[in-house]
Amino acid sequence: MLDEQIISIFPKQIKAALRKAAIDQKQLEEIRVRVNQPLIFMDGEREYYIDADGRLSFELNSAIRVTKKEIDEMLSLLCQYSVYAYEDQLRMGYITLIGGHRVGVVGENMTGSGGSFRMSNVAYLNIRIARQRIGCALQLMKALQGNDGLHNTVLIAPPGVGKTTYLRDLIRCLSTGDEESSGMKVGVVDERGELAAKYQGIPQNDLGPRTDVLSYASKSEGIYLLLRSMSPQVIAVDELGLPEDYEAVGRAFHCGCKLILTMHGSRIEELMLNTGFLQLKRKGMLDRFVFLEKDAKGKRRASIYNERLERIAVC
Amino acid sequence: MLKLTGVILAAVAMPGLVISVELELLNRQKQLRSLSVFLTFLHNQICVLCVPLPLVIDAAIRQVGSPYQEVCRSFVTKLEQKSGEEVRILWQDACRDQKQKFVLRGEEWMTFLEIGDALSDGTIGFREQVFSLLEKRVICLQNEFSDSLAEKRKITRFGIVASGLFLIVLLI
Repeated sequence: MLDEQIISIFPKQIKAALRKAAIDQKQLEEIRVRVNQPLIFMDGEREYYIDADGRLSFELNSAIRVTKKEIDEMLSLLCQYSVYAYEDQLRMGYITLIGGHRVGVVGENMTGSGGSFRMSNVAYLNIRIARQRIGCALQLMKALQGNDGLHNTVLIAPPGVGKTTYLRDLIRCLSTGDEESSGMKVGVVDERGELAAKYQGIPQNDLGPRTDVLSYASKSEGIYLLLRSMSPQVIAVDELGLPEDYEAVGRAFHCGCKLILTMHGSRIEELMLNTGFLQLKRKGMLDRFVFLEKDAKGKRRASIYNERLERIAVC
Repeated sequence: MLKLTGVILAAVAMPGLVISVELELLNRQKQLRSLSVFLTFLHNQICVLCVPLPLVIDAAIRQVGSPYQEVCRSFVTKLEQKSGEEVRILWQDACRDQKQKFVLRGEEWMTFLEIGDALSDGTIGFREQVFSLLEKRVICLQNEFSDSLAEKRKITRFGIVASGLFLIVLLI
């Protein structure tokens, strides 16, 4: 059965069908809503549909279809009848629900006078079911601890492998601590709101008791702000990209903070073409490089390399 | 005896009626003033602070007095039902549910109903314009009402007293 937070954003007719449908939310990854197309439920590589009576089906013909009017109603319900209050999130392309579920919103982007932003004619929604994988980074966490404490680490992987999921759990582990090490103050710059998944300012994901989260700020500005005001011991940032991001990370390093970062990439050779990354590496600011991979069965593997890019562990 | 009773009743009813009309006029003035405060509150919360609508109305319930409070409560209940109805219609329904508690008339009542337009879909700019327009209109209505209050009172008192005296004379 789907959570009521997810069902409540659907219009009446679809709501009724969803309440009857025997959907296993634990397996569900996405619900795709497209104008005048069938409502599609994605469960790993498999997709299925429901009919008007809530019966599950693999037949496209019997699937409920969503009209433009129903999508407009969904947007209104998503934004609590207040699209104006969700401009920041819409600019990012999604809205977060209670429970941390994220709804991607795509339509026609319009920028008005004074830089005000408006998304109109929304025709596509992608409801991504949140599933925080608590404990997934425990083994990795142990491998990143050294004699001098936490190593400055960068997680590297192509999209869809789970960098953000691992980063989230690493933040939680660092903040919580364990029998061998006490929890650390972690400052997180959550530029796209994916790590904490805040709903009305309240994080829907567990990032630990000593974590401060700055959401929807640029990484460079966010890092400076956290350094000035929150005295973090660790700075965690997802998806470094711009030159100013690397500069800000360097600044954090010089302030004595440990670093947990993520970057796009799949091979060391790719990273060597990245000037910002090379700079951090040359200055000795990065100690550990974790390459994440996903095999055909969806199982993840983390290969850990030291500062000399020698593989030292796999977990 | 009957005439005497009639005379006494007329004599007692006159001041009662005068007081009742005075109270209604005062109440109308108070409700107009509250409408102005309510509009400014909504304007600030929505256009300046960009607070989501259900939270704005929840806060408004704590800020405003009766009967605006009851309208807000009714509106919040309708929002929570998520019927898919337009916000403007839900607002107007909530207003009509509590109409008997209001002494606002004509354009005053229409202005109150039109708050629904500012609450429904639209850019911040559009809502700003609607709120500004409504606030200006309420100021005009308040001024008109204040200017004509003294005269209304005179006419009402004179009318009631004159009718009462006429009735007494008839009875005598």
